[in-house]
Amino acid sequence: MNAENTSSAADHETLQDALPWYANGSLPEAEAARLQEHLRSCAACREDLAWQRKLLETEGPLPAGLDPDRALARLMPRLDAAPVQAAAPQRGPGQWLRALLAPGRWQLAAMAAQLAVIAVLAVQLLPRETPSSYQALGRGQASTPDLLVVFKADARVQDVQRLLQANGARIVGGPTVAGAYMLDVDADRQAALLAALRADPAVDLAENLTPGSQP
Amino acid sequence: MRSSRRMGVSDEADEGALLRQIGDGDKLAFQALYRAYFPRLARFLGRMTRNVPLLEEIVNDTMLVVWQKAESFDGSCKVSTWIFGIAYRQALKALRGLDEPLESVAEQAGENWNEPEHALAARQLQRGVSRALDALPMEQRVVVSLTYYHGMAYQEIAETMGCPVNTVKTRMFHARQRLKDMLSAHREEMQ
Repeated sequence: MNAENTSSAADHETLQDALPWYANGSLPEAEAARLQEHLRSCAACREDLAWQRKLLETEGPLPAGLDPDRALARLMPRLDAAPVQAAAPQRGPGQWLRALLAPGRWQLAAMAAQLAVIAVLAVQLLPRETPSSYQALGRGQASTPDLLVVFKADARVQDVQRLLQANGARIVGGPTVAGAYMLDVDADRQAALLAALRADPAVDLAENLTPGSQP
Repeated sequence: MRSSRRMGVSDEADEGALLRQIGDGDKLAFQALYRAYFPRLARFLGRMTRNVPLLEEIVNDTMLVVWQKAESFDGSCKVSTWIFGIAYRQALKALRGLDEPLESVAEQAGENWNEPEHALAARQLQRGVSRALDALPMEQRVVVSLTYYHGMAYQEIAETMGCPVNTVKTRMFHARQRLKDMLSAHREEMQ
């Protein structure tokens, strides 16, 4: 039996539906070959194809006044405020933590130095807060940390202390293996703390962990 | 033929390399990708809004997400499909609730009464097509634009719009019916 010459009406419809992608050259080879064969015997599809090719060549103009340089100049300063994210898209707080916990992301020497700084810091800060609110990673859901921060290897204890106290922040978790700390802060001071952390030379990375804060 | 405008393997490899550099925080690589994509995204988004400042802002929002998520790009689709998908979502977000009418392109293009007759006819056809496209529902317009003016395969369009392939085909089917109706006045030029 000769399949090409006995195309049913259903075949015709299926092939006609694929014509736009035949016209733009994106159809998979086998499907394109079938359509090509069909076109030989189908005047309606040939006419349709000609119409679509004309449409394809007739694109309207862009809106007037677009300026890529101007737009790029506006965007570049925003890049620093939006650091490159590591790992998978659509991360929630948990995934951020896992990313930070992943081995090899941070240099071990820096990590050790951070741990030393922060261990001292934690001892200094914690007695002023309710001890039971301190939460180690993986302990379950006692409270949700608001922010995550990684301090630089050469961060000084007094700088970190000043930074947290000035913004009313408490350490509620960490250090993770990667040296990240979870911070708790009043909701209305969260944005200010994040900005202050990111602007501070003692801070390597600061991220919002509250739901919906990811782009 | 449209196939010549489709992206070749080497372009795709170049873009993948750029994206890896961007993932490492390379701003020069980012600027290179931005400049390569600005005209393409502007053409695509120009079918969703004619508001120039808004359009540039959507391009910027899109490229900001590209900057932030470059490292998470896993190569499971083309770079262009990934970026257009981000642009589509950013555009929907920006346009949600705005409900701005699409200004007809005809009013924006400059008139030139001295141009030769065939050029005038081509321009009139172009305006007719633009007007017809702008009259389509948004989803149909996007499918038509990605197919005819960006050379995308139906599978890529489905990925870009986050819908099944059959939905893409159905939208295209309805779009073609409507376009044929609306462009019936241009039947001769369309032959």
